[in-house]
Amino acid sequence: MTFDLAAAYRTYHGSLVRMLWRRTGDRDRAEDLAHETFARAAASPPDNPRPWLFAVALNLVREEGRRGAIRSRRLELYRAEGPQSAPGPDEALERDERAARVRRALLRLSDRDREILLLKAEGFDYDEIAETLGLARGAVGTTLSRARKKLVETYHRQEEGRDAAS
Amino acid sequence: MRHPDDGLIEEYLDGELPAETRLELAAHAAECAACRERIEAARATREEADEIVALLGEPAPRSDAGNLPASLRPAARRPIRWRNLAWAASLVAAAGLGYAGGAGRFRPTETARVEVDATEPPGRAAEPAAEPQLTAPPSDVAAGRPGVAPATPPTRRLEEAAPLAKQRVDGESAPPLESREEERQAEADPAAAGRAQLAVPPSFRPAATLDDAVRALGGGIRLLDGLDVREVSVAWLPMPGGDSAAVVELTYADAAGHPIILRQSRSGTKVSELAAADAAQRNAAPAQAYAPGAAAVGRERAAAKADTRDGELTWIDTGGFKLVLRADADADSLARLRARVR
Repeated sequence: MTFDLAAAYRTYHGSLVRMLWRRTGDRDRAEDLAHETFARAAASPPDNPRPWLFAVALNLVREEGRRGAIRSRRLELYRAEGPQSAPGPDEALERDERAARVRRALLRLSDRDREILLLKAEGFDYDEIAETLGLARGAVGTTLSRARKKLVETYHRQEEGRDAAS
Repeated sequence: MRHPDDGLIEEYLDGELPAETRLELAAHAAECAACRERIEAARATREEADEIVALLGEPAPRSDAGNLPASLRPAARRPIRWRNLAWAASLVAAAGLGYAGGAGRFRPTETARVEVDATEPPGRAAEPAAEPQLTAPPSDVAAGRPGVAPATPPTRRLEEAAPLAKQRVDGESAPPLESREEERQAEADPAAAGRAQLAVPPSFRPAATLDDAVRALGGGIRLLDGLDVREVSVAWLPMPGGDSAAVVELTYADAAGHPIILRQSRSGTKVSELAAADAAQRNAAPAQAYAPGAAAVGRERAAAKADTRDGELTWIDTGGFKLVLRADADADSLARLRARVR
C-alpha cells in the first residue's frame, strides 16, 4: 500500500491538531507537533496512517513533557488566535472556564488515561487505540472504563471545589 | 455467562464486542439485575465523559486547513513560478493602484484587481538572486487567493500604501494607518511591497498575517529586505498595569533552510523584556524550519534550537522599533542581516 501524504494530511490533520490542542492546551504547539508528525510521515511512510500519526504525535508530546521546564520557564505569552466565530463575551468566558476545568481534570489523569479519552473522541475504535497506545486489544475496554470514571470524578470534584470557593 | 468485568461492559457499550459475545452479555443482563445496574451506570459515565471531553471545544479554524503545506511537499514539485507569480502580481498591483509617479499620489477611482496566471513568465525586471524558494499549494493559486490585490482606498499617500500592499488578501478591510509613516522610502517600493505581500505563503502555521502584524504594531513593520517571510506570528506580552504590548515575530529562512527570526515591538516593551519573551518563546515553540521531505527534520530542528542561543542581536531603530534578530550565525553575519532590516 502506498502512503499518500497529501491525502493523509487532508484526512487527519484537522483531527490530529484538535487532539494535540486538547492534549497540550496550546494551539501553536499543536500545530508544531502536527507538522513535525507529518514531516516524519513524509520521511518514513507508514502503512496504517491514523494510528501511526497519532502515536508519533503523542510521543512527541511526552518527549516534550520530559524535557520539561517548558511551562515553568514560560512567560505569560498569549499568542493571537486565528479568526474565530465571536459569541458574546459572557458566553465565551463561560465556555473558556468550562474548557479550562476539563483541561485541569485531564491533567490529573495519567498520560494513558488522558490519551485514550482524546483518541476515543477522535473516533478511534479499539483496534486503532490498541495500536496507537501500544496496548493489548483486550486491555482497551478496561483502560477506557477506568479513564472515563476518573475523568467524571475529577471533573465533578473541581466543580464542587469551585462551588465551595464561591 | 459469568458476570462481565468492567472492560467487557465498556466494549459492549462501545459496540466493540463480536455479535456472539454481545448476545451472551445481553442475555446475562436480562437475568442479572446487578449487572443491569452496572451497565446502566457505565453507560451514564461513558456519556458524561464524552460530554466532558467535548467541552474542550475546537481549536480556532485556520484558513489553509486541509492543504498540504508547502514545507511538506517533495522538492521536485516546488514550483519556481511562485516567485514569478509574486513578481508579476506586484507589477500589476502597482499598476492597478494607479500610481501616478510624478505627483506621488494614487488616483482616486481605481481599485486593484489582479488575476495572475501562475504559469506566466516573470516580469521584465531582474530579481534579487539567492532568495529562498517558497511554494504555494496549487489549490491556492487556482483559487486566486494570493493573486488578488486588495481593493485599497485610493487616496493614500505612497508611503502609506506600501505597508497596505503587504497585507494578505482575504477580503479584509485595510487597517487604520496613521500618517506617521515617516522615513519609509525603502518600503515605498511597490514591487518590494507586493513581493512581501505575496511572499506570505499559505503557510503551515499562519498564527497571523502580515496584515495582523502591521495592525498589532500600530501601522508599520520592519522587514528583512531580500528575504521572504515564511511565518508571521503575533504575541501579546502582558505589561504592568494590565496593558499588553504586541510582539511580532517574522520567520525567514536562509538558503539552507535555517530559520532567521526577526522579533519586533514598538509600544511599551523594554528591549530586555523583548529578549526575555524571545527566550521564553524559544522554549515554548521552537523555530520552524523544515527542509521538505528531509529525513532528519527533528534532529535539524533540535540542533538549530541549541545553536542559536548566542546568535542574537538586539537594538532599537530610529523609528522606535525594538528589534531582536536571531539566527544560527556569527556576529558578523548577524550584523550584515541587521543592515538589511528596513
